[in-house]
Amino acid sequence: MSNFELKNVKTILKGLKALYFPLFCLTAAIVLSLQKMSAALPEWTNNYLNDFLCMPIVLFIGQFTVRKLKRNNALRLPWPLILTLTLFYSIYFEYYLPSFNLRYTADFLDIILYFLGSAFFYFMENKLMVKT
Amino acid sequence: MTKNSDYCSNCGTLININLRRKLEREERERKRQKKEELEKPDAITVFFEKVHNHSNPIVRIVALVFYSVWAVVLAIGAFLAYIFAYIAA
Repeated sequence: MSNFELKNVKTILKGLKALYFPLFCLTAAIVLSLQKMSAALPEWTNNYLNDFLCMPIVLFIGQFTVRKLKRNNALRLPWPLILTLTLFYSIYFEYYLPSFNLRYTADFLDIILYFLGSAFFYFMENKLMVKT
Repeated sequence: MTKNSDYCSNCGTLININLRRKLEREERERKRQKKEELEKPDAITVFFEKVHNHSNPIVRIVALVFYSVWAVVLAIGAFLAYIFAYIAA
């Protein structure tokens, strides 16, 4: 990859790291609002988009809070904690709630999307070393 | 003529722009760290620091658990899961 291309990729990633949280929140809020208004949405948006957005939002809020609490802006969530929380969400939303409430349906793809969302968060916060 | 030198041979001014910026960055970082050290810790931090050195080991363990990253993040995660379940239902 040329220097110019590498610089462009770095700029895009830097922008994404700075903006993904508000962008994800906004997208999730729009999808939820449209669902509440019974708007016709594409199947993947209706069933899967918010599952992907969920974990990065939750983990970001958690990380933000512990950073403020411990007054350490360099603090990063360890991967076992990310994994534990993702497992908790998978069990809670895809096993526990569907067995009690008809509104919820268990879907294996949702679990994959929770893990993909967590992997995205881990990559953005722990692996991507660009200053924002 | 100043050649291959970071400083002007006549007046001693730093003329290497990269070095000057590096030194400025380091100075800024030093000032920031000094400022952070001088800042008064908030009430929660003071409380947990005090409890951290408590004479009773049970109190120390409870404080350690509640002040740990794991406990805080899992509690926030559980709370948000409850909220999401409530919103989605």
